[in-house]
Amino acid sequence: MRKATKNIVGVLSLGVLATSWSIGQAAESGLVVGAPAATNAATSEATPEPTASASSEATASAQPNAEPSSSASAKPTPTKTATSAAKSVTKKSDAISYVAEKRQGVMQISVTKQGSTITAIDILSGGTEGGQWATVPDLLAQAAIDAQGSNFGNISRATHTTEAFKTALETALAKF
Amino acid sequence: MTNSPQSQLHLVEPNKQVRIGERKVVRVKRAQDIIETIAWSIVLAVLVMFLIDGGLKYVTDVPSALNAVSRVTSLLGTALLLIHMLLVARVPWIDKFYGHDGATVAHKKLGKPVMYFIAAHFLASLIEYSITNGEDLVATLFWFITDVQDMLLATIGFVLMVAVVVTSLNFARKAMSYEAWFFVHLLSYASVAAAIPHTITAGSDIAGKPVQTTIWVALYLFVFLNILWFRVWIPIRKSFRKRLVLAQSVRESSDTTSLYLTGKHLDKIEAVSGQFYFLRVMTPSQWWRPHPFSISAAPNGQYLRFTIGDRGDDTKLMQNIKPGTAIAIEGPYGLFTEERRTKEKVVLIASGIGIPPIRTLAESMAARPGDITVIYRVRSAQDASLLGEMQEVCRRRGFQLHVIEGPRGPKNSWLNKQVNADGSELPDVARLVMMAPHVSEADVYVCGPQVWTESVLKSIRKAGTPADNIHAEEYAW
Repeated sequence: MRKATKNIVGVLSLGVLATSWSIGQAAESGLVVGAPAATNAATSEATPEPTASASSEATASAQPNAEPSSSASAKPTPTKTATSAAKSVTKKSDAISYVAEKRQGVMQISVTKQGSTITAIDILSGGTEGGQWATVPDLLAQAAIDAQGSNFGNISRATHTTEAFKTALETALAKF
Repeated sequence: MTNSPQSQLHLVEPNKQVRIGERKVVRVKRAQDIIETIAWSIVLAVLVMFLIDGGLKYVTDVPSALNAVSRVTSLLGTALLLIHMLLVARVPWIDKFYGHDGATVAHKKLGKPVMYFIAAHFLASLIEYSITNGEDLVATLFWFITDVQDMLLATIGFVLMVAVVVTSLNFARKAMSYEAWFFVHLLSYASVAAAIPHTITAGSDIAGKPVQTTIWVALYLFVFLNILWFRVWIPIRKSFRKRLVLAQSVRESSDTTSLYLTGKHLDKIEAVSGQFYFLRVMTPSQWWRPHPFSISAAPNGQYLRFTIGDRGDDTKLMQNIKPGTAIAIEGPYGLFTEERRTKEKVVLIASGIGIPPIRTLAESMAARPGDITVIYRVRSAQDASLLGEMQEVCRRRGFQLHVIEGPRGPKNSWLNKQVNADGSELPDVARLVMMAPHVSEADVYVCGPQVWTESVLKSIRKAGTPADNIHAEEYAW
């Protein structure tokens, strides 16, 4: 390359790299929830969930989605503070053992329902650790609340964890 | 055909005109800049995809840092690997601007960096998982190979790649036979193929990401199709069309032989003076070995001629093939042509078996009498290949021919020993300028053995010829 071209290309490249770095830092998460295998996609509110027993009559409740923002540290979400008429009920799932990243893990979660709506999910054990994995429990809980059940796609690179989570969720929902 | 006396030597009509001037060089450089920018953009694009994906966002501890290292090195290594492979696909738009030799030299240079990147990727993921799994490296490697999908193949691919690179290092090349090197080098395609599955099933930068998937599939397909088309299909089709056979071989000197090939469609041969072909003698034991040889007569529509020196290896065998043997060709390649000329004056310098392209250039270059000076370095004028033809060309076209014979001068001289009356010896540069006074204002074409060529180039640079006007081609294959 001629010198002038090299300089121009070099400066442009630095700009492009810096821009993409800042986009990457601002991005939500490197891990994304894939599309569900079933037909109905993520129009989260009105879709009745086939596996869970929810009939979506209670969507009128003004309950905002209690986002389990700090659930990675397994802090219990306040469940009694709900401002709506329907009672919040929390049930624990079975402990599902699974293998992810060659480590034996046990997945146990608690599900909070208000009427027939899932309002909060806590991962009691089985969360992954370190790096980008810290975001996996949040993603799973949010995806399950959005889908009102286990009908959501896998999180790429966290397939085993996702599957264990779904099984646990189903056992918890079966107890309501 | 040509065993005739020199006066009946059949020469092609020289080119009527040639475009000269600096703009030609500028145009080539601009094209090179564009190609290099495209190559760089590919490398940049994979980095951008990694960064936009938040590749650096989650680096919080040692394993996640290793994970990022592993991802970046694999992406860069793969991007460079694809460029590395494209460089030897004999793609016309690369060869046109860099020459077959330039592309091959770049290919050689990229080999080691590619391996370093892939090795770093391999080690980084190995260490990352051995930390998170809490096991030692050997156990982790074993786990990779036995338990993780497609990692066995990928590991084999990596081992093959190391083998390919190591056998291509200079010291190994010298110790190995061509056959051994060739077969190991063929494995590089297997190596790349073996690595593909794990990028899809185990990698975090392709699966489930439509944009990235599209880009990578497009890159792989582009390189694969270029190799298939230009390296495999075009040469096969050309050889079938031309159906070249050896018509006659003629002894030119004690150690050189001219092969006259005839076949169909010879009037449509694309070669121009100064270019070369890879020849394959189509016998059961030889067909897979390509040999690069320059044409030694400008294409004339009747035959294709190559003049081959006996260098003690296969070239000996090439000299003794029987008339009627089929010969497959790949090419033409090379930029040692008039296409690169930008000056009115030309100096052609050859040594020994470097004469064929010089001979064809002298035959066909556009020039008036006196425009071209030829310097031909030989051991002895009695035993010099194509010397008679060279003299005839220069006589008819009015070029000055300097035949330099005899033992070599002192200190790595590329000329012969010549002592003046007072016992002093002139340096090579001075003698070059005396033979070709316009050398600093001319295009200089040099062809000969590598060490000799380097010595000539030194003299030419000292004489003041700009680098853009010095043309020498390396047989770097």
